[in-house]
Amino acid sequence: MGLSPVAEVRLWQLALFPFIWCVFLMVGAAVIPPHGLPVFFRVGQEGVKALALAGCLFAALGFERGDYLRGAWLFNAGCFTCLLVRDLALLPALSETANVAIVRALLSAVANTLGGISAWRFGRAWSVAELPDPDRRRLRAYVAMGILALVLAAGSLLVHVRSALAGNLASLVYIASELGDIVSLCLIAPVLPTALALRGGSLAWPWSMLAVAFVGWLLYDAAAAFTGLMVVDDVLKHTLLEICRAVACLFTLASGVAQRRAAAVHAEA
Amino acid sequence: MEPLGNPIAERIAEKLSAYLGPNTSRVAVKTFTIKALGRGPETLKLEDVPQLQAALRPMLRTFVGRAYAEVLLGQIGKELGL
Repeated sequence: MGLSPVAEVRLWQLALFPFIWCVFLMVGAAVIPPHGLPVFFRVGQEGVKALALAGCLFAALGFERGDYLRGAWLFNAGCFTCLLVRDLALLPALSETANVAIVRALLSAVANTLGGISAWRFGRAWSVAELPDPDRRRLRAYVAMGILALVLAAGSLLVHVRSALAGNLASLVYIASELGDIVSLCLIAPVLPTALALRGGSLAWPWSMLAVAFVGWLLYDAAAAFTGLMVVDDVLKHTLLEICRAVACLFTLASGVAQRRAAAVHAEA
Repeated sequence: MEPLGNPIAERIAEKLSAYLGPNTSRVAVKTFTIKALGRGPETLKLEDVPQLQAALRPMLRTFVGRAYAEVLLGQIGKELGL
């Protein structure tokens, strides 16, 4: 089983790309004229989601049918696929069609369900592998993350529920997203103790990058809550949110590539 | 890090540590030796290794998939002269 060119990429180098992208975002936000920023941010947003999808598929294809983590990566890929399809409805040709808000909300709900299943599978990998957890680190991680996720998402969730009850159907998309985030963040919490337990081995890289990805989503929720409560410059708000989204999506990509690389790196020993 | 108290167990843990890291590899050898043989890794003999490999297989398959799990288990067997 030889090493492919991809396998030659050092694992730590995969972590550079998200940072380079974030610098690119900040520079773009600073130099692009205001009328060009919506397109800049939208292209960036869809770009990172597409790259995350590619990373998930790449990782999934490194496993065989029946391998536990193949399912986790495929569900994650399904989540990003639904998000990308949902965002197609923002195109001018489609955004005026009937019931588009409901369709977008449904796709958000499906995306977040698939993301939740993926998070659950990743979170359970240590238990499925039947490795011991004498300190109950995983249970403590679930509880801690549940509290944190509720604190961060409660504010904006309340705002969007009120908006939806007032008749703004577009808020349903945000509600589905926030509920999905809360659930997914809780379910994926054991990823960090798993990454720590694997330190010193090649598998620590994909699991650590996955942990950083979910911290990215946590920061995204925190940024959304913060910018919703304070009076913040619009460009700054969008830049902050897009940086958090980029961290989450591009570390998902990095994790997917690292998963294949980490498994292959010792195969020729 | 607590030693496993057996050179065969230590060599297997060293092989696993490339993927799992030194801590988890030792935990894995200890856990799955007890699971497979009903006794600790300090009692591990060469003829016990195939049973230990079979016990490690599902755990390795979870983290690296079936193909690479077989490669790693094959490397372990080869290193021990099996």
